[in-house]
Amino acid sequence: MGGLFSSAPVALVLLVGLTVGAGLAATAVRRRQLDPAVADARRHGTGAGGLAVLAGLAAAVAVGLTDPAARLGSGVSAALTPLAFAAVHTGVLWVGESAWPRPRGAVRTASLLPRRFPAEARRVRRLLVGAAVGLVAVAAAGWATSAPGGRAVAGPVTALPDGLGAVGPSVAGPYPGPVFAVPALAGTAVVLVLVVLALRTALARPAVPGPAEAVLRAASVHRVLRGAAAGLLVELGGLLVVGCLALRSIARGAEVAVDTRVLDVGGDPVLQVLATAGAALGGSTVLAGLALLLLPAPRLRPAPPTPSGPPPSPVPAVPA
Amino acid sequence: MTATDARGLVLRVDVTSPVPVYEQLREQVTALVAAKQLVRGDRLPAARALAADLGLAVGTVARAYKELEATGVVASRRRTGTVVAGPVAPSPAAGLVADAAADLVRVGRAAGWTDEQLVTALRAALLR
Repeated sequence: MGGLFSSAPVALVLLVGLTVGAGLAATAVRRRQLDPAVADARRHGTGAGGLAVLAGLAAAVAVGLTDPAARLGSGVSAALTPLAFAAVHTGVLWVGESAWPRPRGAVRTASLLPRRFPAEARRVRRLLVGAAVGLVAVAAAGWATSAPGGRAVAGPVTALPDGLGAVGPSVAGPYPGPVFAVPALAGTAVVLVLVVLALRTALARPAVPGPAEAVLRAASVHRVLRGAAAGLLVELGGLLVVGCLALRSIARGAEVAVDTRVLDVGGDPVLQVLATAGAALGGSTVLAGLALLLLPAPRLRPAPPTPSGPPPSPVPAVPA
Repeated sequence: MTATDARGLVLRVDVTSPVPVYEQLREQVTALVAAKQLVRGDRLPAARALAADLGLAVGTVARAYKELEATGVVASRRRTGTVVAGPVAPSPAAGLVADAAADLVRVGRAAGWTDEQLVTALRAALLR
Protein backbone atom coordinates (compact mmCIF):
# COMPACT_ATOMS: atom_id res chain seq x y z
CA MET A 1 0.00 0.00 0.00
CA GLY A 2 3.04 2.26 0.01
CA GLY A 3 2.36 3.76 -3.37
CA LEU A 4 -1.32 4.14 -2.71
CA PHE A 5 -1.39 7.87 -3.15
CA SER A 6 0.57 7.86 -6.36
CA SER A 7 -1.41 5.02 -7.89
CA ALA A 8 -3.62 5.38 -10.91
CA PRO A 9 -6.90 4.50 -9.10
CA VAL A 10 -6.37 7.28 -6.55
CA ALA A 11 -5.53 9.79 -9.26
CA LEU A 12 -8.60 8.65 -11.20
CA VAL A 13 -10.82 8.96 -8.13
CA LEU A 14 -9.46 12.46 -7.45
CA LEU A 15 -10.16 13.47 -11.04
CA VAL A 16 -13.64 11.96 -11.06
CA GLY A 17 -14.26 13.45 -7.60
CA LEU A 18 -13.43 16.94 -8.82
CA THR A 19 -15.71 16.42 -11.82
CA VAL A 20 -18.57 15.07 -9.69
CA GLY A 21 -18.10 17.89 -7.17
CA ALA A 22 -18.21 20.51 -9.90
CA GLY A 23 -21.33 18.86 -11.35
CA LEU A 24 -23.06 18.75 -7.97
CA ALA A 25 -22.18 22.38 -7.28
CA ALA A 26 -23.50 23.43 -10.69
CA THR A 27 -26.81 21.60 -10.24
CA ALA A 28 -27.39 22.44 -6.57
CA VAL A 29 -30.44 24.45 -5.55
CA ARG A 30 -29.40 28.09 -5.58
CA ARG A 31 -28.97 29.88 -2.29
CA ARG A 32 -31.60 32.49 -3.15
CA GLN A 33 -34.17 29.69 -3.57
CA LEU A 34 -33.67 28.62 0.05
CA ASP A 35 -34.65 29.97 3.42
CA PRO A 36 -31.56 31.83 4.75
CA ALA A 37 -31.34 29.51 7.78
CA VAL A 38 -31.48 26.46 5.51
CA ALA A 39 -28.90 27.94 3.15
CA ASP A 40 -26.57 28.65 6.07
CA ALA A 41 -27.05 25.14 7.41
CA ARG A 42 -26.32 23.62 4.01
CA ARG A 43 -23.18 25.71 3.72
CA HIS A 44 -22.08 24.62 7.19
CA GLY A 45 -22.64 20.95 6.32
CA THR A 46 -20.99 20.96 2.92
CA GLY A 47 -18.14 23.10 4.23
CA ALA A 48 -17.46 20.67 7.06
CA GLY A 49 -17.70 17.78 4.59
CA GLY A 50 -15.18 19.33 2.20
CA LEU A 51 -12.84 20.25 5.03
CA ALA A 52 -13.08 16.70 6.39
CA VAL A 53 -12.05 15.19 3.05
CA LEU A 54 -9.10 17.58 2.69
CA ALA A 55 -7.96 17.05 6.30
CA GLY A 56 -8.34 13.29 5.91
CA LEU A 57 -6.28 13.23 2.73
CA ALA A 58 -3.64 15.45 4.33
CA ALA A 59 -3.46 13.15 7.36
CA ALA A 60 -3.15 10.06 5.16
CA VAL A 61 -0.37 11.62 3.10
CA ALA A 62 1.41 12.82 6.25
CA VAL A 63 1.25 9.37 7.82
CA GLY A 64 2.49 7.78 4.60
CA LEU A 65 5.39 10.20 4.25
CA THR A 66 6.55 10.68 7.86
CA ASP A 67 6.23 7.02 8.90
CA PRO A 68 5.17 7.68 12.51
CA ALA A 69 4.73 3.95 13.15
CA ALA A 70 8.27 3.07 12.04
CA ARG A 71 9.12 1.47 15.39
CA LEU A 72 6.24 -0.97 14.91
CA GLY A 73 7.77 -2.25 11.69
CA SER A 74 8.50 -1.35 8.11
CA GLY A 75 5.38 -0.60 6.09
CA VAL A 76 3.04 -0.30 9.08
CA SER A 77 2.55 3.45 8.57
CA ALA A 78 1.70 2.93 4.92
CA ALA A 79 -0.79 0.25 5.92
CA LEU A 80 -2.47 2.67 8.32
CA THR A 81 -2.99 5.51 5.84
CA PRO A 82 -6.64 4.58 5.04
CA LEU A 83 -7.45 4.45 8.74
CA ALA A 84 -5.70 7.80 9.29
CA PHE A 85 -7.94 9.25 6.59
CA ALA A 86 -11.06 7.75 8.15
CA ALA A 87 -10.19 8.86 11.69
CA VAL A 88 -9.33 12.46 10.78
CA HIS A 89 -12.27 12.72 8.37
CA THR A 90 -14.69 11.52 11.04
CA GLY A 91 -13.08 13.70 13.72
CA VAL A 92 -13.44 16.84 11.62
CA LEU A 93 -17.09 16.03 10.91
CA TRP A 94 -17.67 15.47 14.64
CA VAL A 95 -16.30 18.93 15.37
CA GLY A 96 -18.36 20.36 12.51
CA GLU A 97 -21.56 18.81 13.84
CA SER A 98 -20.73 20.01 17.36
CA ALA A 99 -20.32 23.55 16.02
CA TRP A 100 -23.70 23.55 14.25
CA PRO A 101 -25.35 26.99 14.65
CA ARG A 102 -27.47 27.17 17.81
CA PRO A 103 -30.95 28.73 17.79
CA ARG A 104 -31.03 32.40 18.75
CA GLY A 105 -33.75 34.86 19.58
CA ALA A 106 -36.21 35.09 22.43
CA VAL A 107 -38.89 32.83 20.92
CA ARG A 108 -37.78 29.40 19.74
CA THR A 109 -39.67 26.48 18.31
CA ALA A 110 -39.02 22.76 18.03
CA SER A 111 -40.85 19.88 16.42
CA LEU A 112 -42.10 17.09 18.66
CA LEU A 113 -41.18 14.50 16.06
CA PRO A 114 -38.61 12.15 17.61
CA ARG A 115 -35.29 11.81 15.82
CA ARG A 116 -34.77 8.63 13.85
CA PHE A 117 -31.79 7.29 11.98
CA PRO A 118 -32.22 8.53 8.38
CA ALA A 119 -33.41 5.80 6.02
CA GLU A 120 -31.18 7.20 3.26
CA ALA A 121 -28.05 6.38 5.27
CA ARG A 122 -28.94 2.80 6.22
CA ARG A 123 -27.17 1.29 3.22
CA VAL A 124 -23.90 3.08 4.01
CA ARG A 125 -24.26 2.01 7.64
CA ARG A 126 -24.52 -1.63 6.55
CA LEU A 127 -21.44 -1.10 4.40
CA LEU A 128 -19.51 0.31 7.36
CA VAL A 129 -20.49 -2.58 9.61
CA GLY A 130 -19.61 -5.09 6.89
CA ALA A 131 -16.23 -3.46 6.30
CA ALA A 132 -15.45 -3.44 10.02
CA VAL A 133 -16.44 -7.08 10.45
CA GLY A 134 -14.43 -8.07 7.36
CA LEU A 135 -11.41 -6.14 8.57
CA VAL A 136 -11.52 -7.81 11.98
CA ALA A 137 -11.91 -11.23 10.34
CA VAL A 138 -8.99 -10.70 7.94
CA ALA A 139 -6.75 -9.29 10.68
CA ALA A 140 -7.62 -12.16 13.02
CA ALA A 141 -7.04 -14.76 10.31
CA GLY A 142 -3.73 -13.16 9.35
CA TRP A 143 -2.70 -12.99 13.00
CA ALA A 144 -3.56 -16.65 13.54
CA THR A 145 -1.79 -17.98 10.44
CA SER A 146 1.32 -15.80 10.30
CA ALA A 147 4.86 -17.05 10.78
CA PRO A 148 6.87 -16.17 13.89
CA GLY A 149 7.87 -12.54 13.52
CA GLY A 150 4.33 -11.52 12.65
CA ARG A 151 4.86 -10.06 9.19
CA ALA A 152 5.13 -13.10 6.89
CA VAL A 153 3.46 -16.43 6.23
CA ALA A 154 5.31 -19.76 6.08
CA GLY A 155 4.59 -22.67 3.75
CA PRO A 156 4.79 -26.33 4.69
CA VAL A 157 7.96 -28.40 4.94
CA THR A 158 8.08 -30.68 1.89
CA ALA A 159 9.81 -34.05 1.85
CA LEU A 160 11.94 -34.70 -1.24
CA PRO A 161 11.68 -38.03 -3.08
CA ASP A 162 14.30 -40.78 -2.90
CA GLY A 163 15.29 -39.92 0.63
CA LEU A 164 16.85 -36.63 -0.37
CA GLY A 165 15.62 -34.94 2.79
CA ALA A 166 13.18 -32.08 3.05
CA VAL A 167 12.95 -28.44 2.02
CA GLY A 168 11.09 -25.56 3.50
CA PRO A 169 9.33 -23.93 4.91
CA SER A 170 9.29 -21.13 2.37
CA VAL A 171 8.30 -17.73 3.73
CA ALA A 172 6.45 -14.91 1.96
CA GLY A 173 5.50 -11.43 3.08
CA PRO A 174 4.32 -8.87 3.83
CA TYR A 175 1.43 -10.66 5.44
CA PRO A 176 -1.19 -9.26 7.85
CA GLY A 177 0.24 -10.94 10.94
CA PRO A 178 0.22 -9.19 14.31
CA VAL A 179 2.74 -6.55 13.15
CA PHE A 180 0.06 -5.21 10.78
CA ALA A 181 -3.08 -6.66 12.35
CA VAL A 182 -2.74 -5.12 15.82
CA PRO A 183 -2.34 -1.51 14.59
CA ALA A 184 -5.11 -2.10 12.04
CA LEU A 185 -7.47 -3.40 14.72
CA ALA A 186 -6.59 -0.53 17.06
CA GLY A 187 -7.09 1.99 14.25
CA THR A 188 -10.44 0.43 13.36
CA ALA A 189 -11.56 0.71 16.97
CA VAL A 190 -10.59 4.40 17.04
CA VAL A 191 -12.52 5.05 13.80
CA LEU A 192 -15.62 3.27 15.10
CA VAL A 193 -15.58 5.19 18.38
CA LEU A 194 -15.30 8.47 16.45
CA VAL A 195 -18.16 7.39 14.18
CA VAL A 196 -20.41 6.72 17.18
CA LEU A 197 -19.56 10.12 18.70
CA ALA A 198 -20.08 11.94 15.39
CA LEU A 199 -23.38 10.16 14.72
CA ARG A 200 -24.68 10.91 18.22
CA THR A 201 -23.84 14.57 17.67
CA ALA A 202 -25.31 14.66 14.16
CA LEU A 203 -28.57 13.09 15.31
CA ALA A 204 -28.98 15.49 18.23
CA ARG A 205 -27.80 18.76 16.74
CA PRO A 206 -30.24 21.67 16.34
CA ALA A 207 -32.91 21.23 13.69
CA VAL A 208 -33.29 23.34 10.58
CA PRO A 209 -36.74 24.80 9.95
CA GLY A 210 -39.01 23.13 7.41
CA PRO A 211 -38.74 20.00 5.28
CA ALA A 212 -35.03 20.62 4.59
CA GLU A 213 -34.33 19.34 8.11
CA ALA A 214 -34.63 15.66 7.17
CA VAL A 215 -32.44 16.06 4.09
CA LEU A 216 -29.70 18.02 5.85
CA ARG A 217 -29.58 15.62 8.79
CA ALA A 218 -29.46 12.62 6.44
CA ALA A 219 -26.62 14.32 4.55
CA SER A 220 -24.67 14.82 7.80
CA VAL A 221 -25.07 11.18 8.80
CA HIS A 222 -24.25 10.04 5.28
CA ARG A 223 -20.99 12.02 5.25
CA VAL A 224 -19.85 10.54 8.56
CA LEU A 225 -20.59 6.97 7.47
CA ARG A 226 -19.27 7.42 3.94
CA GLY A 227 -15.79 8.58 4.94
CA ALA A 228 -15.40 5.96 7.66
CA ALA A 229 -16.70 3.13 5.47
CA ALA A 230 -14.41 4.21 2.62
CA GLY A 231 -11.37 4.15 4.90
CA LEU A 232 -12.22 0.75 6.35
CA LEU A 233 -12.94 -0.71 2.92
CA VAL A 234 -9.59 0.48 1.53
CA GLU A 235 -7.82 -0.90 4.61
CA LEU A 236 -9.66 -4.22 4.30
CA GLY A 237 -8.89 -4.44 0.60
CA GLY A 238 -5.24 -3.59 1.18
CA LEU A 239 -4.85 -6.30 3.85
CA LEU A 240 -6.60 -8.81 1.58
CA VAL A 241 -4.34 -7.97 -1.37
CA VAL A 242 -1.03 -8.26 0.51
CA GLY A 243 -2.15 -11.32 2.44
CA CYS A 244 -3.45 -13.16 -0.60
CA LEU A 245 -0.39 -12.27 -2.69
CA ALA A 246 1.81 -13.76 0.04
CA LEU A 247 -0.32 -16.89 0.12
CA ARG A 248 -0.18 -17.17 -3.65
CA SER A 249 3.58 -16.93 -3.53
CA ILE A 250 3.65 -19.82 -1.05
CA ALA A 251 1.17 -21.83 -3.12
CA ARG A 252 3.27 -21.59 -6.24
CA GLY A 253 5.89 -23.92 -4.74
CA ALA A 254 9.55 -23.81 -5.74
CA GLU A 255 12.15 -25.46 -7.87
CA VAL A 256 14.93 -27.18 -5.95
CA ALA A 257 18.20 -28.26 -7.56
CA VAL A 258 19.50 -31.54 -6.14
CA ASP A 259 22.71 -32.79 -7.74
CA THR A 260 21.91 -32.68 -11.45
CA ARG A 261 18.17 -32.78 -11.01
CA VAL A 262 15.69 -29.88 -10.63
CA LEU A 263 12.67 -30.85 -8.56
CA ASP A 264 9.34 -29.02 -8.28
CA VAL A 265 8.42 -29.05 -4.61
CA GLY A 266 5.42 -27.81 -2.76
CA GLY A 267 2.77 -26.02 -4.68
CA ASP A 268 -0.94 -26.03 -4.03
CA PRO A 269 -3.06 -25.27 -7.12
CA VAL A 270 -6.27 -24.88 -5.11
CA LEU A 271 -4.69 -22.41 -2.70
CA GLN A 272 -3.17 -20.58 -5.65
CA VAL A 273 -6.57 -20.10 -7.25
CA LEU A 274 -8.16 -19.07 -3.96
CA ALA A 275 -5.35 -16.63 -3.20
CA THR A 276 -5.58 -15.11 -6.67
CA ALA A 277 -9.33 -14.69 -6.24
CA GLY A 278 -8.79 -13.18 -2.78
CA ALA A 279 -6.27 -10.69 -4.15
CA ALA A 280 -8.70 -9.72 -6.91
CA LEU A 281 -11.45 -9.33 -4.32
CA GLY A 282 -9.13 -7.17 -2.23
CA GLY A 283 -8.32 -4.97 -5.21
CA SER A 284 -12.02 -4.60 -5.95
CA THR A 285 -12.66 -3.70 -2.31
CA VAL A 286 -10.02 -0.95 -2.48
CA LEU A 287 -11.64 0.45 -5.62
CA ALA A 288 -15.10 0.21 -4.03
CA GLY A 289 -13.84 2.15 -1.00
CA LEU A 290 -12.38 4.87 -3.20
CA ALA A 291 -15.54 5.00 -5.31
CA LEU A 292 -17.67 5.28 -2.17
CA LEU A 293 -16.12 8.69 -1.52
CA LEU A 294 -17.78 9.86 -4.72
CA LEU A 295 -21.27 8.85 -3.60
CA PRO A 296 -23.15 12.15 -3.17
CA ALA A 297 -24.89 12.88 0.11
CA PRO A 298 -28.68 13.48 0.01
CA ARG A 299 -29.35 16.85 -1.58
CA LEU A 300 -31.93 19.58 -1.19
CA ARG A 301 -34.48 19.81 -3.95
CA PRO A 302 -36.29 22.97 -5.06
CA ALA A 303 -39.13 23.74 -2.67
CA PRO A 304 -42.61 22.77 -3.95
CA PRO A 305 -45.24 25.48 -4.27
CA THR A 306 -46.35 26.80 -0.89
CA PRO A 307 -49.49 24.96 0.34
CA SER A 308 -52.57 27.11 0.71
CA GLY A 309 -53.34 26.07 4.31
CA PRO A 310 -51.94 27.86 7.35
CA PRO A 311 -48.73 26.56 8.93
CA PRO A 312 -49.05 24.41 12.06
CA SER A 313 -49.66 26.69 14.98
CA PRO A 314 -47.62 26.38 18.12
CA VAL A 315 -49.28 25.01 21.21
CA PRO A 316 -50.55 27.82 23.45
CA ALA A 317 -49.32 27.65 27.00
CA VAL A 318 -52.25 26.41 29.06
CA PRO A 319 -51.80 25.86 32.77
CA ALA A 320 -52.25 22.24 33.73
CA MET B 1 -45.12 2.63 18.93
CA THR B 2 -46.18 6.07 17.87
CA ALA B 3 -49.93 6.37 17.86
CA THR B 4 -50.24 9.85 16.40
CA ASP B 5 -48.31 11.86 13.86
CA ALA B 6 -46.26 14.39 15.81
CA ARG B 7 -44.91 15.99 12.62
CA GLY B 8 -47.13 19.05 12.86
CA LEU B 9 -46.79 19.51 16.61
CA VAL B 10 -44.49 22.29 17.62
CA LEU B 11 -43.30 23.45 21.01
CA ARG B 12 -42.52 27.10 21.46
CA VAL B 13 -40.65 28.73 24.30
CA ASP B 14 -39.95 32.34 25.09
CA VAL B 15 -36.68 32.61 26.96
CA THR B 16 -37.51 36.19 28.03
CA SER B 17 -40.80 35.17 29.62
CA PRO B 18 -41.06 35.36 33.42
CA VAL B 19 -42.45 31.81 33.29
CA PRO B 20 -39.52 29.40 33.58
CA VAL B 21 -38.73 27.62 30.32
CA TYR B 22 -39.14 24.16 31.84
CA GLU B 23 -42.61 25.23 33.03
CA GLN B 24 -43.50 26.42 29.52
CA LEU B 25 -42.50 23.04 28.14
CA ARG B 26 -44.43 21.18 30.84
CA GLU B 27 -47.56 23.23 30.22
CA GLN B 28 -47.47 22.73 26.46
CA VAL B 29 -46.93 18.97 26.59
CA THR B 30 -49.70 18.68 29.20
CA ALA B 31 -52.01 20.70 26.96
CA LEU B 32 -51.22 18.48 23.96
CA VAL B 33 -51.98 15.37 25.97
CA ALA B 34 -55.19 16.86 27.36
CA ALA B 35 -56.25 17.78 23.83
CA LYS B 36 -55.44 14.20 22.71
CA GLN B 37 -52.97 15.49 20.11
CA LEU B 38 -50.47 13.33 21.92
CA VAL B 39 -51.80 9.98 23.07
CA ARG B 40 -50.55 7.09 25.16
CA GLY B 41 -47.47 5.52 23.59
CA ASP B 42 -46.33 8.58 21.60
CA ARG B 43 -42.60 9.12 21.88
CA LEU B 44 -41.23 12.52 22.79
CA PRO B 45 -37.87 13.68 21.40
CA ALA B 46 -34.81 12.86 23.47
CA ALA B 47 -34.06 15.62 25.98
CA ARG B 48 -30.70 16.21 24.29
CA ALA B 49 -32.27 16.68 20.84
CA LEU B 50 -35.09 18.90 22.08
CA ALA B 51 -32.61 21.02 24.04
CA ALA B 52 -30.47 21.44 20.92
CA ASP B 53 -33.47 22.45 18.81
CA LEU B 54 -34.54 25.06 21.36
CA GLY B 55 -31.02 26.23 22.21
CA LEU B 56 -31.51 25.29 25.87
CA ALA B 57 -29.44 23.40 28.41
CA VAL B 58 -30.22 19.68 28.48
CA GLY B 59 -30.99 19.99 32.18
CA THR B 60 -33.86 22.40 31.44
CA VAL B 61 -35.62 19.91 29.18
CA ALA B 62 -34.77 17.07 31.53
CA ARG B 63 -36.44 18.98 34.38
CA ALA B 64 -39.58 19.50 32.28
CA TYR B 65 -39.66 15.77 31.49
CA LYS B 66 -39.11 14.98 35.17
CA GLU B 67 -42.03 17.18 36.18
CA LEU B 68 -44.21 15.58 33.50
CA GLU B 69 -43.19 12.16 34.76
CA ALA B 70 -44.01 13.14 38.32
CA THR B 71 -47.54 14.09 37.30
CA GLY B 72 -47.98 10.89 35.29
CA VAL B 73 -48.21 12.57 31.89
CA VAL B 74 -45.12 10.81 30.52
CA ALA B 75 -43.02 7.82 31.48
CA SER B 76 -39.30 7.41 30.91
CA ARG B 77 -38.18 4.01 29.74
CA ARG B 78 -34.62 2.95 29.20
CA ARG B 79 -35.19 1.44 25.76
CA THR B 80 -37.82 3.68 24.24
CA GLY B 81 -37.04 7.00 25.89
CA THR B 82 -39.78 9.33 27.08
CA VAL B 83 -43.29 8.29 26.03
CA VAL B 84 -46.72 9.65 26.74
CA ALA B 85 -48.32 7.71 29.57
CA GLY B 86 -51.77 9.22 29.20
CA PRO B 87 -53.77 12.18 30.41
CA VAL B 88 -53.76 13.00 34.07
CA ALA B 89 -56.82 11.63 35.88
CA PRO B 90 -59.52 14.29 35.56
CA SER B 91 -60.91 15.98 38.65
CA PRO B 92 -64.71 16.15 39.14
CA ALA B 93 -64.76 19.75 37.86
CA ALA B 94 -62.61 18.99 34.84
CA GLY B 95 -65.56 18.84 32.48
CA LEU B 96 -66.86 22.24 33.57
CA VAL B 97 -63.43 23.85 33.27
CA ALA B 98 -62.84 22.26 29.85
CA ASP B 99 -66.22 23.55 28.64
CA ALA B 100 -65.44 27.04 29.94
CA ALA B 101 -62.06 26.98 28.21
CA ALA B 102 -63.72 25.86 24.98
CA ASP B 103 -66.19 28.73 25.33
CA LEU B 104 -63.31 31.17 25.81
CA VAL B 105 -61.65 29.92 22.63
CA ARG B 106 -64.92 30.00 20.68
CA VAL B 107 -65.77 33.56 21.73
CA GLY B 108 -62.20 34.74 21.16
CA ARG B 109 -61.99 33.20 17.70
CA ALA B 110 -65.35 34.69 16.77
CA ALA B 111 -63.95 38.07 17.78
CA GLY B 112 -60.85 37.46 15.65
CA TRP B 113 -58.45 37.11 18.56
CA THR B 114 -55.17 35.28 18.14
CA ASP B 115 -54.06 32.41 20.37
CA GLU B 116 -51.61 34.72 22.07
CA GLN B 117 -54.33 37.24 22.87
CA LEU B 118 -56.51 34.49 24.30
CA VAL B 119 -53.70 33.21 26.49
CA THR B 120 -52.98 36.76 27.66
CA ALA B 121 -56.63 37.18 28.57
CA LEU B 122 -56.56 33.93 30.50
CA ARG B 123 -53.39 34.94 32.32
CA ALA B 124 -55.00 38.27 33.22
CA ALA B 125 -58.02 36.42 34.60
CA LEU B 126 -55.73 34.20 36.64
CA LEU B 127 -54.13 37.25 38.21
CA ARG B 128 -57.45 38.64 39.48
